[in-house]
Formats: sequence, C-alpha cells, structure tokens
Amino acid sequence: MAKKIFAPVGEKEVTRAIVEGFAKQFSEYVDSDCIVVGAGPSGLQAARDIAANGHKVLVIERNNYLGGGFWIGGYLMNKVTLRAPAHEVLTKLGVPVEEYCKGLFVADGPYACSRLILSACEAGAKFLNMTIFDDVVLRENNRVAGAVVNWTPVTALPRELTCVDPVALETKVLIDCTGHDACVISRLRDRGLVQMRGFGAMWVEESEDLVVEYTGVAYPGVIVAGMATSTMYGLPRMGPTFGAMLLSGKKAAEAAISWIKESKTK
Amino acid sequence: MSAPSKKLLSIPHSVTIYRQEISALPDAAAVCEFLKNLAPWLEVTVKDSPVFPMKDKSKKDSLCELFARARIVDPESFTLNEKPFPAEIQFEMRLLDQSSSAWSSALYSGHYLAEIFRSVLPKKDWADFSKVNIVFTDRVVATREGNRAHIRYALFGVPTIISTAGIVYGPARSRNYYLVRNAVSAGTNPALARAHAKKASGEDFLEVGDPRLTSIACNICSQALFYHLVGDPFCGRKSCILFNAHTQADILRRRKGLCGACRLVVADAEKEASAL
Repeated sequence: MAKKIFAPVGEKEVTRAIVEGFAKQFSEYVDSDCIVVGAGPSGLQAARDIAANGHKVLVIERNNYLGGGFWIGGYLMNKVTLRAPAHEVLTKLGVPVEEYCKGLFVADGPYACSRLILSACEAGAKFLNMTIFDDVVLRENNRVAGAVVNWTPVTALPRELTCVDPVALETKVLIDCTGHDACVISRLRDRGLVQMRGFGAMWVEESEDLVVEYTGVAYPGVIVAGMATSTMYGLPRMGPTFGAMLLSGKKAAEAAISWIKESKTK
Repeated sequence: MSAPSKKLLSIPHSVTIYRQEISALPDAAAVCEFLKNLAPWLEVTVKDSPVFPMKDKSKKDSLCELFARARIVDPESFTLNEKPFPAEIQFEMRLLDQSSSAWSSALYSGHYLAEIFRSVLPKKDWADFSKVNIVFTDRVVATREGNRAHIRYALFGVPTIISTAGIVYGPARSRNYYLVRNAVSAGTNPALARAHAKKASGEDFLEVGDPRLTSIACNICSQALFYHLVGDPFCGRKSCILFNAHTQADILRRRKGLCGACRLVVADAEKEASAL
C-alpha cells in the first residue's frame, strides 16, 4: 500500500482548528492598541509600522481579500505608480521599482501588494477580513474607544433577516483607512461630533501632498489616513498613483504610536 | 479703463516690502532697485514677513487659527471657514514653520488676510498713508465677485497684499487650456492634468517659481505705489506697466515702463516730494 502524502486528520479536527484558532485570536484582539479600519495600502502600511513598533494591531477589512485597490494601477492594469520619495517604501520592502520618468516609479501591482501584506503580517498585525465596520464605541467626553463590527455578509441579507447584532472591540486608537467612504469619520459626522467637507471643498491646483499633510488625529481616539483624509478635508481625488497612500499610512502610524504611548502613561 | 487720475492723493515717502512667508519670492533686491529707479525720492526697504518668524507661541497659535479661519471653504458662495479643523490650524503652523510647502492648497479671503497682517504690522506704519506697505504671500488670495470667490494677484490697500500664487493662477489661461484640462482631469492628479493641458494648448503661462515673476512683481509694486499716489493702481493703456492684467497673455506682455501720462504723475510727485 502506497504511503499517504497527508497526515490522517478528520473533518472535525479541521473544523475545530479553524474555530479554535479564530476564537483564540479574536478573543485576544477584542482589546488591542490600535484598530485599523480598511486594509488598502494606507491601512496596511499603518498596521505594519505600528505592529513593528511592538503594539497590538487589528486590521478590519470588509472584503475577503486584503490590499484594496493596490493590486491594480488604473483601468484594471496591474502596474502601480508612485512618485518619489514614496518608491523608497517599496524598495525597502524588496519590491523592484522602475523609474518611468524623472520622479515617477512603476512597480508590479501584485508584487507590491502582496509584499505589503506580508510585511504587515510579519510585523505582527492581525486581520479580521469579511468584517465590516458598523459604528464607534464612545466613552467619557465622547472619546472613541473602539469599533462595533459585524460580518460583511450580514449587509447582504434580506431586511427581515438582518437582526444580527454586531459585536464591539475595544482599542486605544482607531485609524480610518476606508478610502473615499471615510466610514469612521462618517459615523462621527452622523452623531454631530465632526464636520466633513466632502470632495472638492478645497481649491487645489498645485498641491498633491495634502493627503499626507492632513493625515493625523481627526478626533480624540481617531486618526484619518489615505483617501478618507480627502473626504474629511475636501481634498482632491488622487487618480491612480499610490505614493500618498503609503506615506499617509506611515504618518498615521507615527500619530497612532504617539497616541498609544500617551494612553499607556495615563 | 481710463488712465490714472493726475490729481495726487498723497506723496508716499517710503515703501516697505515684506518678503513672503516663505522664501521663494521674486528677487526682492531687484524689485527694490526697480522702485528706486521709478521714484528716486522713495526710501525702499525689504523686511522679513510680519508673520515669520514668530517666537511667541500663544500669538503664533492664535495667528494660525486666524489664517485657518480666513480660508474660503466654498468658493461658489464665498463661505469662510468659521470652525476650522485642528488639522487645518496645524497645517497653518507648518506653513509658518516652513515645514510644509503646500501653499496653494486653499483660497484665502484677501480682506481677512489684510486684517491679519494689520494686526501684526506696527500700527504707526500702516496707519500712515504716506508709507506704502507691501506684503508678499504665497497664499492664494481671493475676493468676492458676485457671490463667488475670484482669485486676485494683488489686493491694494493697507497693506497691499501681493500673492505670488495669485499671479500664477489669477489671470486666466486660454479657453483651450481649460477645455483640455477639464477633459483629462477626472481621476488624474492635478499636476499631470495641468502638464498635459499646457502641452496640448501650446500656451505660455506662468508657473510657480517662474523667473518672470520678478519683473511682474515690479509692475505690481508700481501699481501699489500708484494706489497711494492717486488712489487708483491701474492704467487703461496696455503698454503701461500699470495695466490691470486679466489674462496670462496680458500679464506676460513685454512692457518698457510707465506710459507717458503715468510718468507725468511720477514727475509731479517727485516735485512735490522735493518741496516737502
């Protein structure tokens, strides 16, 4: 009789491994230092840097895949562009980049995106994919202290079946990396806690650095990064170039690390 | 538009040019030299910006909030930023600290900016109409026209504000330029759309850091001087450096100097100044 390739494991062990593995991590991350909402390039970059700094980071992603729009560069073509100096972020991750013209670099989308995901995982960030951000947890003086989440498929259920309560996760700081939707900021806006300018409120001809410039604490316990910054402050849409997303993620991480340190000393 | 009135309103004896809030201004020494040649009796000096550097932290904080409030958040209705975000105030702080160069990101109310500059300039200087004070800024300055905000290259007053970004963006480019830019702008970053439209339209227009800004700044400072001399900064003759340029073609037109009528105004002023 030929030797079997795989170990003799039954279905019940497979199921238990999934349930217990997920539950163990989920239980551990019900309380974290930082929750990053959205696993696009800015969210991944932020999660990576915060986790690399020794903090407990949980990333929530509504899709089953991570990476957001970073897999493709525009018009479904999988080359991503970055303007200097953002290409150095990819170079440090070991992603080959090619200078297309002075100051503009091109990288392979799948290579760049998968490396960024890998780097975030290796730094220690944990992920809850297929999980949708529902609301914020508010504490004294309306400080944000966590996120209310649910399974993404719940949003696709018929109305009569949607009485599926969400659960809450606690954290020291929440980073809104949900792109143009700015889901976290929108929830705060709905409660009358912040203003949102929406697109195009700011007159911009020259500056494309503004997403990075405005990345930072937007509300006590909430940092805004990536294109969510654009929605909040009325900055222009960026087009298919990703440098600002990566640098915004890095800046958000710096702000989060500082926030976490302050929270821990209080 | 008519030539400036020949009736003198005042005889300025000094011009103080405050360098813009960061250093990328047209050559200030060349502007000084130009004004001294134009009106030899004038004492022309260049000083640092009235808002930079500012060491007093509490004054700096309140100044940054004022700048953030001076922003126009809706150009269509000229709505000012009554409740600025903390991030906007911090952004203003970085501008003053010169740790950001993203100047042309917002529109500012010119009148509100003039108020801010008055609050930091010595009153003995700006309250005396015989002292011309010119503040250069990189901020994009606008005033209300109808209900909308309209970008200006200068706001003549006390002090006069000259916006380097306003020189670049205020005078209109060709219709073809805007058509091409709008056609390519969706989903593209603004710099790429602009570069494409410039190439496609074949139009010459000023850009940030353009070396021609110095000679244009000389002309606008002359307009500021005329605002004090006769109450009207402009001359209707296209060949005169006091011509009020509304288009890039106008502002880039080569001009030798003042027209004959405006030279007479200066000659009259010089006579009166020597008699004082």
